[in-house]
Amino acid sequence: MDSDERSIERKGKSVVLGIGNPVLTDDSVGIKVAKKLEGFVDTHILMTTDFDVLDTLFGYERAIIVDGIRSGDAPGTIKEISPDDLSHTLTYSGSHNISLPSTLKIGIEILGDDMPKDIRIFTIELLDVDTFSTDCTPMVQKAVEEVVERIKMLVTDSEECKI
Amino acid sequence: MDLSGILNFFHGGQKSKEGVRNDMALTKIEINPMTRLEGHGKISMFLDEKGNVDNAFFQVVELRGYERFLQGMPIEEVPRTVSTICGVCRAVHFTASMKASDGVYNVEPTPTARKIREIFFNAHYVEDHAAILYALGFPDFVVGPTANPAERNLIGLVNAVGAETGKLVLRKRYAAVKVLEMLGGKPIHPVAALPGGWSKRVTQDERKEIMALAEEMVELGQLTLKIFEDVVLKNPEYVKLVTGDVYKVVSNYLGSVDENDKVAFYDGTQKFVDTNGKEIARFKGKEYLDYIAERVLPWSYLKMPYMKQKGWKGVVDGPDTSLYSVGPLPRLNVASGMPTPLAQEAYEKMFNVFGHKPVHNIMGYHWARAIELLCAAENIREFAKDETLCNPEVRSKLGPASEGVGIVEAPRGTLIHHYVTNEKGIVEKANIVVATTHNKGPINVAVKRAAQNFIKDGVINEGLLNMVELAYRPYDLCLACATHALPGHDPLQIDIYDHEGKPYKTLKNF
Repeated sequence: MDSDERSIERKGKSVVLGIGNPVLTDDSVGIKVAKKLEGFVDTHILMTTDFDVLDTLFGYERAIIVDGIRSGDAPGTIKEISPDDLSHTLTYSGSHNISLPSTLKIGIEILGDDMPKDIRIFTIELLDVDTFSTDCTPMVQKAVEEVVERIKMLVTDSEECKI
Repeated sequence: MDLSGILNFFHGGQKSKEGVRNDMALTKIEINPMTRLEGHGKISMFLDEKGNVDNAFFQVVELRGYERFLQGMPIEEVPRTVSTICGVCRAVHFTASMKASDGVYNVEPTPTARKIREIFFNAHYVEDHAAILYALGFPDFVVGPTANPAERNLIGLVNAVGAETGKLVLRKRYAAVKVLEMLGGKPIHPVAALPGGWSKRVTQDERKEIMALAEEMVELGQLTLKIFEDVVLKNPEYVKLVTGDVYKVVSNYLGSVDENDKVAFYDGTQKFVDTNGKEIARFKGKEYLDYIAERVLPWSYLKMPYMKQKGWKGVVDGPDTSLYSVGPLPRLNVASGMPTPLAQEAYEKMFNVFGHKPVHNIMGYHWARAIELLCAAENIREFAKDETLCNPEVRSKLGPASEGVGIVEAPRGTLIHHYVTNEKGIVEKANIVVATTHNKGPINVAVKRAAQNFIKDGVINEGLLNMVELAYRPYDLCLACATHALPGHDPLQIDIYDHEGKPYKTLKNF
């Protein structure tokens, strides 16, 4: 079987990719959002931002990525950005250090039309990524609920546009 | 327990040990790959009064919090949990932990479960080795180690070998990811581990699909070796870089071998050879405690392992060293060959080019990695041909719970998971020794040697960063990437201080 029947299965569809660590408190935000959207839209979960991101996005029409961020804003702050808003570096000291912006850049350069034409990234400002816990802190959890609703609207609008 | 609590617990309350030599009136250079929460590495170099490198220290903050986190957890839950230690190394922690859980219940997996595990583990080798080689290893060679970082990367590599080749590599690597997902029971982070078995049977259709995917992986292995040959072996300068003395660490080696003394990834006997390639020890399971000792160093959070029988000889290489290396090149140094035909051909070619064994040239790690990628793909092909892979017996009967050690050859080197449980199988103690820990001593030697070669009389140029990085990139450090919060920026910075400790120059790659 051709491993790239993905192109057929995913054509015209949307995907939500949640990134994070499920056991490090607020770092699980991306995963929590993706889990809440299971059944509504195709979802994937990753704990890494290397080439697996490309495997996950390959062939989809549009992708919504959800990840935590530490940029100094108030915990729970939600931002919607595009890959162009993220600075990338193509130099890294190890395979563990390939960041999301770098991977997206590589994907767009190499995979071209097989990458989603529309990639949006929701970031949620984190508070605690030090403590072992499967629960988010309250403000961050509130943001999870809001991002889920916003993504539902986005996906619904996209599907209506197709009709 | 929060981060500071964990650091206090494991490091005697010392949160930072930076600048331990600031009072020595030496010039200090720091290279800071500031990574994510779970760990970061830092290189500090000290120059003498003439501006030459006096010493260099590779320091790792490796958070050992998981060993505490596992305490009180049912052993059946542990493989799924440790797979979250690292997003990249997910299948290796999962597999080592699963093997340890076999030991806890004093049980061996059924032959069918063993085959499924082998395929799963080898698939991880294919996708992981491919990522390291194409993202890190090849770019240095294709566009040159001193080239502008803007070109010395995967995009530069694709420009050199062609976009179609780049796309082909990503597509064929996905064949391995697909096998991992199919067998693991869940995308990305596997859930199918059971003590003494595997929770998901393989259907005939799945077996046939794995066979087809294995062919793609074998092609990826062959393509990867061809790129290595075309790019490196046909370029005398790169051959010199690979076989020369600048990136050379003379150490002992540790790796796993099968009953025929061939390289073994999933299971085998752990074998030590000395700096001349002579076998000096073999061990299995809990015996690791008799052969590996750890040295506490005043300048590092991480203990430095060494061979117990040889005693502590310091952070030095050479014939008398007690340091040892693990990973792709050490595995090939330790074994008498590869278990599969195509990989065996490549193995013979590599040692013919070097002209000696063991190979101490650390650039050989990348070559060995390419050979192992092909070997892993061939392993999958062989296991998938076997129709008994679909037998229904995938679980053995468990014995009473007590203590277990699981050892695998992770892509980066020997990985040990050791658990002690109570009679109900609840974890009371856990110890995890990862490849980067084993390699800490040799990495220090490699970094110091590179620094001594490229910093002369206080002259420090922009190329220093990469030439020193080259010394540790072949090991592909796993400092653990437990969080992935954006912006995901991994800057590297060299801070240069004058003899009074004041900064006067900074080099950055961002």
